[in-house]
Amino acid sequence: MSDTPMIDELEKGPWPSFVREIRRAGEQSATARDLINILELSYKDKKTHWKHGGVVGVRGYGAGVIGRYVDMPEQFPGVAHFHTVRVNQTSGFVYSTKGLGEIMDIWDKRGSGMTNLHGSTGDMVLLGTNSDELDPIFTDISQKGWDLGGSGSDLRTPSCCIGPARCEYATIDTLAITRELTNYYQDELHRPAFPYKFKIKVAGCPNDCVASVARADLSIIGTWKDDIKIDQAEVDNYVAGGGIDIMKEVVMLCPTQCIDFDGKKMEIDNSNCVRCMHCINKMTKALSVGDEKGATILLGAKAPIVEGAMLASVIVPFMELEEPFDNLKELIEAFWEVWDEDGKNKERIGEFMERMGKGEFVEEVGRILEENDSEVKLVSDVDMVFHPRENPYIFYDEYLEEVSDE
Amino acid sequence: MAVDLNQVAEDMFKMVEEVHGVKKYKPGDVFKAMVKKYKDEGLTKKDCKAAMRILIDSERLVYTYFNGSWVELPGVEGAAKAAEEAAKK
Ligand code: HEM
Ligand code: HEM
Ligand code: SF4
Ligand code: SF4
Repeated sequence: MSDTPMIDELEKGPWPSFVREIRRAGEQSATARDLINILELSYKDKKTHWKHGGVVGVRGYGAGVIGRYVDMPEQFPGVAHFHTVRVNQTSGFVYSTKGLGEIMDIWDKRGSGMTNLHGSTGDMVLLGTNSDELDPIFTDISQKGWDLGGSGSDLRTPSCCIGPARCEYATIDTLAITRELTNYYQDELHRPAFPYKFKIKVAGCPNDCVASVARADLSIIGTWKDDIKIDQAEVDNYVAGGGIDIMKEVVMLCPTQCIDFDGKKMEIDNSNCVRCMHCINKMTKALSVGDEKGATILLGAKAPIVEGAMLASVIVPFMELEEPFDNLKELIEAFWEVWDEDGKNKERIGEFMERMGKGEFVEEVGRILEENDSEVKLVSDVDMVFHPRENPYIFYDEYLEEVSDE
Repeated sequence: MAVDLNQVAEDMFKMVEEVHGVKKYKPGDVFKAMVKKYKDEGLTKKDCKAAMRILIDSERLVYTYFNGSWVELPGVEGAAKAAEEAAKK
């Protein structure tokens, strides 16, 4: 009988299997082989055999390495140390084969050869190495032009969709923004000084292919201010082609019912359009995003860790973003300042904002922007409302006072 | 700015050293304490970061991670010791 009957189950069936992949790595790596063995034991014991390693890292950096040890090093020497190394991803996940090859050569030599790219955190995640290899790995990857990513209570490596490199929907240069923020905030990335992690994801349009609205503390999502462009000749072609039931698949599915279509001519009441992208996605040739391009800035999304999951909510409905993105940087730094001042250990900015109250958070950020002579103004706006209030019987003193002053 | 960053670094080190083994500080806690202490001199958080860097680069303090990021005196943790001993056998 096999030594690993439970793990073997996970190789069965036609699906991708992480066990199969780890076994393949095990042809060359003792670490990968012991990883399978310890996992089998964990399944049997119904408990983890991993221990945190809170001190490991490379000299000078407080991030980029996540330490792990096994609690039975004698039995599983291959995974006695099993530290993870995070390496900055490229903007839009565009790699050259040569660049990837160099990373993999380093990792085959100094690590387990196992990787994971790209999960929610981002970064190229290199899984499983010894403490002694960390500084040499850092030197090797640095020489090839790479750097370590974020971990712990710091800025995580920003990430973005492929944006204008390939996609006509992009209203902002997601790649340039991501690259600039990554380079500009090196200190925040490598030297943890926040209450908790902070993730930035940049999507070129509301399709949000990086799911920033669910996965980033700060979501930057491309949008436009003016009207959706309609190419009536192409609308005619869609009608003539008959491949799509425009009424049923486009008009009726517009969330705000702001498209007017009489079977021939299409018009959009743009004042009621919420830029959901549905019609544009359906009728790519006929409809396109407007010319006044920018981004919506949202805060607060997170997965359930300390508290439950949260989606992002709007902080700035529209902002133009041009290199070198000074307005964006000023805004981000003001967010950090407010959060840094009063955020509790392991309190994400979304939870912090909820505890403080969004109105007060916005006021405080606005005050800091003003103090720093920023061009960016932050004022409460109806677009920031995440959710209409459910209970009309709660009153806010400050607003009552404003009324009675009149 | 009138303050010597080495002096600030020294104060930071003392602050961490004093509570070693009893309590841990986040870098932000240390920065806030220094900004308060050197209020009259106008010490900023940026200065504090530079001072922290002196301590980290000289390895007098290290960043650690346990349920959040901290700054502590360097030391070898239990799990690493166990792994080392196992390797010797
Ligand atoms: C002709 C008869 C009635 C009229 C015209 C009437 C009208 C109303 C109106 C206008 C409201 C406020 C709805 C809102 O908040 O938007 C209300 C709420 C309410 N009514 Fe009536 N009502 C009638 C009979 C009754 C009876 C017979 C009962 C109980 C035995 C009742 C119990 C309530 C309660 C408990 C609420 C509060 C609901 C809430 O706040 O969620 N009503 N009614
Ligand atoms: C233990 C018994 C009861 C409880 C716990 C209760 C609870 C409530 C609550 C929570 C409200 C909403 C108040 C607000 O949001 O400001 C309400 C409103 C109301 N209740 Fe009751 N209620 C009780 C008994 C009754 C009875 C016996 C009647 C009528 C015979 C009644 C008639 C109403 C009406 C008409 C309203 C609406 C008042 C308004 O909208 O201004 N309730 N009740
Ligand atoms: S988010 Fe928008 S711009 Fe970015 S790749 Fe997806 S569709 Fe294109
Ligand atoms: S983008 Fe969405 S809301 Fe706007 S017109 Fe198209 S379907 Fe309607």
